[in-house]
Amino acid sequence: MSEKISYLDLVRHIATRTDKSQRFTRELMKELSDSIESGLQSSGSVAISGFGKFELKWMKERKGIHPQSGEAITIPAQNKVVFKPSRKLRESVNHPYANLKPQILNDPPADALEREVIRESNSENLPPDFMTGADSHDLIVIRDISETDVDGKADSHISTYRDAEPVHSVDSRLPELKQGSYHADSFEDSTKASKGSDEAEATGDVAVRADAEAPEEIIVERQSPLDNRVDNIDPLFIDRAEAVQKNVSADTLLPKTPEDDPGEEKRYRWSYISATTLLLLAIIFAVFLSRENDPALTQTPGPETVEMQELPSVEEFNANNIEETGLIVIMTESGQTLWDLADEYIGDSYLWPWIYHLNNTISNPNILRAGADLTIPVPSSKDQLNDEELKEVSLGYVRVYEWYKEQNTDNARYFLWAAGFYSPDLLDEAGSQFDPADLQFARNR
Amino acid sequence: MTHRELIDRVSGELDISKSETRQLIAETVSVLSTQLRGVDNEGYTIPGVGTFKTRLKDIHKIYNPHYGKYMLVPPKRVVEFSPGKELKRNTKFNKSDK
Repeated sequence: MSEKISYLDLVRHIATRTDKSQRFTRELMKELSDSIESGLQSSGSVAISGFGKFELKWMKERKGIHPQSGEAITIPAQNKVVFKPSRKLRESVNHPYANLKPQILNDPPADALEREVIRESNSENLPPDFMTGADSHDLIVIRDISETDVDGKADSHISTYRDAEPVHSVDSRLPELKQGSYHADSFEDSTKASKGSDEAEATGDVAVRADAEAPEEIIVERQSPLDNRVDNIDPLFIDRAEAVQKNVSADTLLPKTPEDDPGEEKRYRWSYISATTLLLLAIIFAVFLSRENDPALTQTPGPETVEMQELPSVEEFNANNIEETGLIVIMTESGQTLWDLADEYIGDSYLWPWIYHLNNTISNPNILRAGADLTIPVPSSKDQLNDEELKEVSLGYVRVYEWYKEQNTDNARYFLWAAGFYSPDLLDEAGSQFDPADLQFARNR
Repeated sequence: MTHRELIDRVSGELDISKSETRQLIAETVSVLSTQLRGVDNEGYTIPGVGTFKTRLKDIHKIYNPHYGKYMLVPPKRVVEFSPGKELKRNTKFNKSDK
């Protein structure tokens, strides 16, 4: 016979778990019970999250019988305390049986009412997840009724559900469902026997069983107390079907220590951590987005002149300038790259280093600030560049090469090669300032 | 009384911060839940509240009129509570605000 958990053990467990003294936890428990009582008195319900809800239910006046005298009595109207376990507790307690589903009996039992039989033969729609007889191998433990051990206290050699055979009917302990003939005498026998001594009662019960016709079908065995122990399983991480079929060993009977159940706390804290990190990321992302489009971060305006001259418009300026210098000024827009600009204004996007060369404000050729003024060269003819222009392109490529070289990337030498491609003389003239390995590569590629 | 009100009351009576009582109650609940999952028909009694135990409900036969079939309901383990004497006595005849 297993020991019932004493209140002292409970207090001890809570004290070690919360790191407080036993006296303190006893005070805490007393305070909790007082709060439950006062809460029920004032508002009729007390909810403890994760555990359950205590409620008062009003029972109307009813008639009853005095147990000793046998007289009729009226039981006065009164409250009764009801406890509704929370979902968490319910699921944790029912964990081994969580995946079991109702099983349909294909043939109506012998004592079925006629109207129910007719209705059953007509019905066809069943929910898809109901188990028919073939699926129920995992359902229950069964035993032949012919054995005289009725109470199930004998050793159960069948301890796993896997050994079970499909069930055809239910426990014949329930008198109405007994197969075969139902004798009023046999029912009375059992009640008479219960008034006598324990021995007589036991034999009386057995006598009823022996007298009754043994049903052909088999009954549900009541499990021994050992089978009711539950593994200390964390329900989130174990496959339910596996858990049901697990054999329960004696080791699980030991009282549970705080180490056994850290799962709940960890889950509780991790959700907080992930929520805060997501929030921080969202904030950072929003700030980053707003910074990128801010035009104020580009060129700072110069000091204002005292006399405000009327500045020529961009078109006028460009029109004037283009004759002399062959350059125009444009303002960049969001999303433009040197590649696009070269394609638009020069006609060949590979010549973008030319623009890069003319604008010292651009440092990283991959990043172009929106709202900046850039000087764009306009070639004299669309088809062919003259030697000077080619040299400008090459110089641009050299500048790009130098920038990539500073970044310590491998691809710098490709830009040097490109410089040589557009103007081979440049490599010969200024070759000494370049890294010899890169120069070698550029010349021989 | 909601969970929040319970925390307020307990922290007031015991002179602890609310966050600490929240944690204490959570851990108490956790211990109570795990200790309950032991042997059926045995549980624990908390003085001033009552006894908590689990019970295994056997398979039983039902007739489901909606589907028109007889079925076997699988076993299920449930939590049972029976209030203690003191609690019953003190709350029997309260007419609460509800």
